[in-house]
Amino acid sequence: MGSRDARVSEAAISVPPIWARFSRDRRGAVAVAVAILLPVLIGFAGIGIEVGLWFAVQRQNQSAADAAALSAALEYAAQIEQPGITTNPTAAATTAANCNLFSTSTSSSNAVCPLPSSGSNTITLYTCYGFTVGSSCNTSSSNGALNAVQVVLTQPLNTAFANFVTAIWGPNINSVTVTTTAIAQFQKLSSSSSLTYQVYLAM
Amino acid sequence: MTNIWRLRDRTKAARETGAVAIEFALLMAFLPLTILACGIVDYGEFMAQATKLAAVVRGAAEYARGQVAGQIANGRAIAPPTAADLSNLLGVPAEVFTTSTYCTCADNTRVICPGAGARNPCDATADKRVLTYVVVSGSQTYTPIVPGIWSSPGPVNARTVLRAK
Repeated sequence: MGSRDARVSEAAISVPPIWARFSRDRRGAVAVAVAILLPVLIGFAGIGIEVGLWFAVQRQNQSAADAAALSAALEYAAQIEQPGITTNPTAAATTAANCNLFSTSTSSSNAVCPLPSSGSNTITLYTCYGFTVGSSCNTSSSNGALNAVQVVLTQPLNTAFANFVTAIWGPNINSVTVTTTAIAQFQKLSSSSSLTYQVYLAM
Repeated sequence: MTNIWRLRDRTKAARETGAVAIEFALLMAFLPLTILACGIVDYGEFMAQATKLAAVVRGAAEYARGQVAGQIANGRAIAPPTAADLSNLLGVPAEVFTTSTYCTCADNTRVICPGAGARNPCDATADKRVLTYVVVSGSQTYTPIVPGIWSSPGPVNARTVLRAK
């Protein structure tokens, strides 16, 4: 009897009896583990959804880039077809991108497809010389004749879950840039006697 | 082979060893239920349907653009493919599609698309060109697998605008 009393009092001095009992009690241990793991699981699910969203944006922007490249190529083709007219490929590309829900900084002035402007999105045009399908855009005029136009769209996206999760490990990713590229080629129809250009997307 | 009647005779600690595994197995049985109930499966299904529709509309728009560009090049009246044409081509119900065209002058002012041989509505502008755009829209309804979680049925929409001339 005496020795048992001594053991209890010893435990009472070092740790409160309730903690001693809690640390020994195995009941509900899995519930505690799951409670700790759940935020991690939800975090990964969140990252999965967020990365999916980036690709959905890229998918949408690809349509905008393609439409912009086609529109810009039609402007270049018009320049060749009707020498002397002034065309604006960048403005035409911007309009086409806006019509496919890609906001640009100048879009507020676009009467065709009104869209709220977004200063952080960019649209850049490159003229390609001596372009052939399958090759990349060569911007040097020494490569051949001007026959294609490349449009590059960039859209920065603020991250939510990825920012939170990467902050735990180290350098946090608080922004990703979604970049989409499209090339449209314009070439003279050889079968036609009149000067007609066909324009098509080339990847 | 273990004689299960002998398990009674084991010590308390030995009898509790499998308890954690069983507890974990019970929790694992509820996990798929929460994935269904929280709409995670529905979200994936919705995104998959939206992606498919976007791809179909995109393909339809490129076809329509080619058709209209050909009509303009040959001096024929502008007529984008009908929803029925696209349905035959792509094997998607016709009620999904809406097609239209619109025209602007080079300065982005809207004009009525000129018919074949009609007066050029952009005669007054600097380069007299009429820009023709083709619009293909797609609309479907998404019916959630688990009813009541999302406002059902939700709309799935896609739209592509391509310039034909």
